[in-house]
Amino acid sequence: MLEIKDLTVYYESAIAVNDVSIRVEDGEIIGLFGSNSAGKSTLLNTISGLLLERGKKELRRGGERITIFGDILLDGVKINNLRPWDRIRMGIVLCPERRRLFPEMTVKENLLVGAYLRRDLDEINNDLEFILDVFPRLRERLDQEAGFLSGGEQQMVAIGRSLMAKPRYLLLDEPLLGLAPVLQIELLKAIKKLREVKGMSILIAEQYVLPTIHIIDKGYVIETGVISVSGTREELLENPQIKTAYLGM
Amino acid sequence: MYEALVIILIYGTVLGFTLALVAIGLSLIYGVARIINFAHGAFFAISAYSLYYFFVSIKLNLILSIFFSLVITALVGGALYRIALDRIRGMELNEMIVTLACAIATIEILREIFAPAPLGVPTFIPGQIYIGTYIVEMQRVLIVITSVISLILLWLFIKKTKYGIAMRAVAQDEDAAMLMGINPEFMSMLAMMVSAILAGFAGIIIAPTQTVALENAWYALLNGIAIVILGGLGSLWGSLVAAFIIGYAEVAVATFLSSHLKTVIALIAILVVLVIKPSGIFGKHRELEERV
Ligand SMILES: Nc1ncnc2c1ncn2[C@@H]1O[C@H](COP(=O)(O)OP(=O)(O)OP(=O)(O)O)[C@@H](O)[C@H]1O
Ligand SMILES: [Mg+2]
Repeated sequence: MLEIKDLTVYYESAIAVNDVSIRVEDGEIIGLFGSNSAGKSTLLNTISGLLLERGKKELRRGGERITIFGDILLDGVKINNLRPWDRIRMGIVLCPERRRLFPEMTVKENLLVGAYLRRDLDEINNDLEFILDVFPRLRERLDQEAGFLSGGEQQMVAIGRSLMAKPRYLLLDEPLLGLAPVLQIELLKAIKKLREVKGMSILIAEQYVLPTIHIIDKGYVIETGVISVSGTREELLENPQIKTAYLGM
Repeated sequence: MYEALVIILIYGTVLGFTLALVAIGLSLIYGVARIINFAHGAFFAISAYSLYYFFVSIKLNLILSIFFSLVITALVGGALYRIALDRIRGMELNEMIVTLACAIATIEILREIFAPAPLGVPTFIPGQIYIGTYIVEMQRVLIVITSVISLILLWLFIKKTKYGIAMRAVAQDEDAAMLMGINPEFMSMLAMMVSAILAGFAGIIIAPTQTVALENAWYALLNGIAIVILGGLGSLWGSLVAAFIIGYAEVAVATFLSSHLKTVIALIAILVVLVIKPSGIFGKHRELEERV
């Protein structure tokens, strides 16, 4: 179980995430919904350890002061101070916002970088095959430079790259961003399939509540850094506030 | 005139390869760690002086001498990164001051250890070959062959090995690389060591054709910077091409004008490129323009 406890993040004196608690049980798909600058990326970057690194770098440079309070627990063990690669080794893998592919590498190289920390070399090829089965259109693009792919293809590579790390907890930051509605549905189906086949837990941060909500087990709504609503999919779908604000009903 | 052209072609090619090793090293560490390493020329000198020590002073065999010299140079590079640069990465001005200080310190230490006068290293293989009617020493042929091999090995390392790919990942997107489990600090240190080996190897193979002297460190640094700027910061291919442009230009100037003016070529290249096209011939900016 991945547990975020009373997490608060400041950029200088501006609060971006305010006393947030989230639980991701094994095998669950959790939605984290919020509009622009609600604090989704800040939260996911904190879980992945990226924000801690950025904070340290800024501190040395005398730049922006980033302060993090609260705990991140993996199976009850605090991982707050671990560096990103140690968290990845424990199975927490973030697929960042806006894909962040390595633009001058081929699709295949991008995917292989995802397996950087793995030692089970003989299984890497199987996983590559698995990813190409989930995203068949990547197969013919394997030797193409990632920078020249379409947005949808780039998102598939980004998710595939994270999958190559063999996550137990996959964190997706706005995977639907910039995709046409048809593609969004296709991608969500693929994400759901991942859970079914690999049994991993998935935390999806999204602005698009509508298609996403159909694949989640539980969801949280975050507004200016605060969790305003949380519950199971059914509860969220029934919630009057969510109906008006996010589902347009 | 014809004769002069052949000389420029032959000597320019030899010089071009040597400079390519130096400049690609400089370009590599910039690409991965975004550090402009003013101590790069010091690597060139350290390995040349180490070679002199092992090969001439204590008369070790050639292969071992080269090996130990490269190990020392790589360790100095790694230590420079780990002790000093790791902590100030991202602060460009501090990086420049620290690397420049290290370069000066290294050179003064070498001056203290070795005789201040230029030293000689014997050729690695004797003999000469004829290209048409022109005599070329085997040492220069060796420079070309070993440079080509080094560049191919570097290419294989960067393209095919796990650490090479990780290095490129850091160069292209440091945060994304971290999210893949790559430690950018480690990769930067590794890049610094590879970079030092490249400059060091250039210093070694060229040593017998000139004298081992402290000024060579500045010559290597200046030319390295000129080539990297001309070829576009961080572009390894750009550095390769630019190395030959500078190499031929310098030999041409040395042939037609004076060998003292050689260094001016590098300075002119820096000046002209920075004023007219700061991104260099193969700079990233151009690539972006083309894509849009
Ligand atoms: N590096 C930073 N420095 C200062 N403030 C920041 C920084 N990054 C984010 N913020 C602020 O923190 C708040 C949360 O931002 P965050 O990027 O986490 O939101 P988000 O929910 O991911 O938004 P989006 O949907 O636009 O990606 C915003 O008010 C934002 O302006
Ligand atoms: Mg965001």
